[in-house]
Amino acid sequence: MTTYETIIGLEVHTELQTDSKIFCSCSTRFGQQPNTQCCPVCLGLPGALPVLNRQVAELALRLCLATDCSITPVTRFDRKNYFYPDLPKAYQISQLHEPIGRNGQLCLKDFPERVVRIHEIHMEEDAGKLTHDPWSDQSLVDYNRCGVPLLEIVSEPDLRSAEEALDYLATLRKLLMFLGVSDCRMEQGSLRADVNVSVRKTGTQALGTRTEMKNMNSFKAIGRAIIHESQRQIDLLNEGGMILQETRRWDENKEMSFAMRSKENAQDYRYFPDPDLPPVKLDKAWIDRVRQNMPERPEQKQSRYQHEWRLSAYEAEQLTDEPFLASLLEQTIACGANPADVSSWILGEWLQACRSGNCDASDLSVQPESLAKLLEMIRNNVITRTTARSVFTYMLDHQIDPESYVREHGLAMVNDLDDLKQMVASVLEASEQSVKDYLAGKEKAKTYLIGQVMRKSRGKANPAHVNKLVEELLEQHRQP
Amino acid sequence: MSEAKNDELVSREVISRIAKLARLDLDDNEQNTYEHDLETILDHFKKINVYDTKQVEPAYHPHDYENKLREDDAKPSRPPQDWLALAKQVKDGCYMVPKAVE
Amino acid sequence: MQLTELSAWQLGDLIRKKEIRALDAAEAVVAEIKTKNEKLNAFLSYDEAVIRSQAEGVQEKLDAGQVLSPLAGVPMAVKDNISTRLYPTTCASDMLQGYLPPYDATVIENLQQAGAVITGKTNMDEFAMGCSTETSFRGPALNPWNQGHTPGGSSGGSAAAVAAGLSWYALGSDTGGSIRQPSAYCNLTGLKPSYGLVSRYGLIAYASSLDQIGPMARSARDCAAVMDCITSQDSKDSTSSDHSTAFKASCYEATTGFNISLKGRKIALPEQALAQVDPAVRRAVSETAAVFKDLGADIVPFDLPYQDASVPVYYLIACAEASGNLARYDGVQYGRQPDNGHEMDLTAFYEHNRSAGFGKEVKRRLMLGTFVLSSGYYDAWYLKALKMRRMIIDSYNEMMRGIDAVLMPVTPSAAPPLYQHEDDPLARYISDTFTVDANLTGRPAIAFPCGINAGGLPVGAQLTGHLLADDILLGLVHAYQTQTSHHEKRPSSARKGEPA
Ligand SMILES: [Zn+2]
Repeated sequence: MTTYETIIGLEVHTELQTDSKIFCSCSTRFGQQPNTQCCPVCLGLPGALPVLNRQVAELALRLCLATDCSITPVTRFDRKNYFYPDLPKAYQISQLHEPIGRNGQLCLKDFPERVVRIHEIHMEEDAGKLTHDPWSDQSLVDYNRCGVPLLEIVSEPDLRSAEEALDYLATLRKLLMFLGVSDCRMEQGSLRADVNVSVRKTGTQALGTRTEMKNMNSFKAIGRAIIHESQRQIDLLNEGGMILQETRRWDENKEMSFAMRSKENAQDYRYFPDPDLPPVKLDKAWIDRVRQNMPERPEQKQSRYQHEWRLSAYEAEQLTDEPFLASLLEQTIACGANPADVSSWILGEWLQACRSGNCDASDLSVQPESLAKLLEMIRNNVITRTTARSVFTYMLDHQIDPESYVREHGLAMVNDLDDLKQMVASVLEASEQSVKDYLAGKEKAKTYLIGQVMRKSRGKANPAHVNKLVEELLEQHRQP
Repeated sequence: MSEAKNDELVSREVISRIAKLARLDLDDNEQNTYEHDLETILDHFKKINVYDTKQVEPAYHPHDYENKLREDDAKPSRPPQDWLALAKQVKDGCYMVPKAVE
Repeated sequence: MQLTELSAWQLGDLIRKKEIRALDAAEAVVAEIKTKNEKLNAFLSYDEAVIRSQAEGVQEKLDAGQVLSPLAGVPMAVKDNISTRLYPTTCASDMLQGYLPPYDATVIENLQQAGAVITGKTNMDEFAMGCSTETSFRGPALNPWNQGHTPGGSSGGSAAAVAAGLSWYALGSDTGGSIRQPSAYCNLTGLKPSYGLVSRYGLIAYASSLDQIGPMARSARDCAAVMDCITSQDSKDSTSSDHSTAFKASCYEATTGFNISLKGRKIALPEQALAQVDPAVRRAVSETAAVFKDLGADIVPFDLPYQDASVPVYYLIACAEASGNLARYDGVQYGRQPDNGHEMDLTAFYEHNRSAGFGKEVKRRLMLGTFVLSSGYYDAWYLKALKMRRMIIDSYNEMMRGIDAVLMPVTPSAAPPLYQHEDDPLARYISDTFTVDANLTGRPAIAFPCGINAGGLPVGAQLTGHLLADDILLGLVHAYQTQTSHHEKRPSSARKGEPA
């Protein structure tokens, strides 16, 4: 039986993290009332004119440099003409002829031999949002998203499986977030991917006819759509059929794709240079400045954490999973905390708190300075780890200074040997059976007794001291 | 393309395709008129082909500009009623249009 | 003293010196509009109450000692493609009937700061596509010099209003001659400024890389005063020139001192252009050259570069840009919107709205523009035109070295009778042959009166200058107008109170 190879290319759209839109000063904030973030420019009112937001070019440059693109010295905007109600000017300002970057590359994480070439990166404006109104059977248009800046990142068809495609997306997403280019929230549409899929007989060179898959709104859906589409094409070829070059819409509920109406497939966008926008000259000084202010990339951070702070490879990778964790780590260390302490606390307590609260890491409102103080109190034997945990839990809901909180609530560690001795003695007295068990050789009984002491101290007893005292007093029981 | 036969610059097919692209619904009479007009106009305009432009950079603007950029400052928007009041069909703060299906 | 016979500058002077009040000027112009506009069709909209309240507002500021501008309190008119909150802005198209812009164009803000009293919006060719106002949805304006003739276009309403004494000056817009040609047909001085000198923000685009707003008035001196008011470096227009502020200074200089010597100035006269025009125009332009010579300028020969390519290149580019600029008129947000939209599918809705809303000439240009951008034709037509545009720009740069201005006719003849070339679009396009180069090259060009032909119709001449040297052109024409009186001639119908 013939075997086939799947060939995948991706077109990723990402909304940029700017305060204002690409060509006007309306806010880009998500989730506001319909049409409340609009002005003559983004509504395309007659006579209104676009003026480019500098930050859009800066962020685009950042991504181009980070993906080794060659920068177009004079980049231009073109108009892409088509009629659709989400596009109030009936053209989208985009870049066709002179995109800001070309010929870049991105290395995958789990497929180190695979270097994905980036065909181009270009700037454009987002369209508005259409919803269907079932009462009137008409569509409702909200132009708030209209004019939000986008970057489109077009890869070459260099990917060979759904796994590779997802790796590419995850790697790109992480890069975009760490560069501060985009927050990449798929649920808010700030990261979207269209996938070009074709298949060819293994061992052959020529590319097969490709289809373009749209409307996947999660990584999972993208993976499924690729697997489904490549299988559909293989089945079709095996049956002696032919692949049509078409755009297909993925339906996640039905787990199927449908060819979009042929009208959308036969577009003539009549691109031409936008006469309202002068070209943007990207001179060496500007590029150098962007290069100098380039945020650290995730893999650079990862290796720095290992070398500078002696974190394990595993820890370093986990902490560079998202920019928030990395910045929490760095800021807490900057406040004087020990790197290993911070790392283990974030990966342990912090993420645990998120899991139980079912929220994002960045949703916890504990400040790095407070966390550093808490961790320093553990390190300096001011409080026990147990106490620290409960203080941390309290800090999740309250703005407190952990040091004064510990002081005011008498949570400091009990280090006084006489006090502790008394406490141990009274526990042993009350737990005759456990003492007997221990003396009969059951080591576990000791752990239980230590636990009882800690409990009696409400977690405040110095665990090292308790451990030592329990052993001493037990030995005394052996030889009365 | 087989659309232009002989020395004809625009055919009826082209006219009807262009009208679709421009979202103009032209009756037969109008299509005839514009086919004739465009043919006449372009036949006159084609004389620019006597000039050799192979080595010439296109001019997108009448003169050269340097980067005209604005800073990334978001400004509060005016109340949506300022724009929505211009539209006849509005519902729930949105413009209403015929069903846009995919 | 008849107020309407004064120049804008003189009237402004009287108001500033408190010899007359802004409201008096407003009342005078309201009376003229009311008697004459019904016939002339120069204004598409005006509002007596709005005019009076503006005049009172300006007077209050003047009385409070505010310094506004030399034209404070002078009533003026605005072409109907410049967005105003005060009046509907329709581009003389059914498509925009009832559209009241929710914002003011930058030039309007500038004018209001300068204390202008905006009387109304003037008739024009639909979306500025035409040379006669015949394509106006509201019917053509008439030429005050002879009502059987066109006032020109597309800023024909502005020209008719100023020539007939319904306004002291007006704003027009010029994409391929739309300020200069009607100025020539109506015996006015009209400047197409350097591209970028005047903000386009709020000017409803026809062809963005060619459009420019400019003044139409009774003298170069008035034009200079208007330029001083409307010029600004606008952060809302990416194609606005950094030079605008400096220009304002020199323009102000010009409106006060205003007397440049023509000694050492070089004015070029392309004989080949004179050969293409009718004898009255040829004679008037030649006589103009003689006046400049008498004033001390050197007259030198000149060859218009790629002259046969100008009109094709202009129309290919203008229509292509227009096809994009006018795509937004779809009946969703503003202007003409159907009542039964919900009964149509989306494509039918668009096609219905656009087919019903646009007139014949607009559709013709949209068809042409869509064609030259469409797949398979872009390189042969649109890209070719852009390359030719570069060649024309470069040639002008080369050939105008050492030359201050090129003197040419504005049009091959005086104003033709109405509807002369109604069914011959090509003939109409070709008549733009002397005006389009200034738009293609972004250069300033000024039209000014230089005689009256045997039929009693005015004839204009044109000077094309260097980029951002609009003040030189104004100075040259001002010098000419100190020696001649062509610009002072008024049509008999302009006499106060006489019905048009
Ligand atoms: Zn906006």
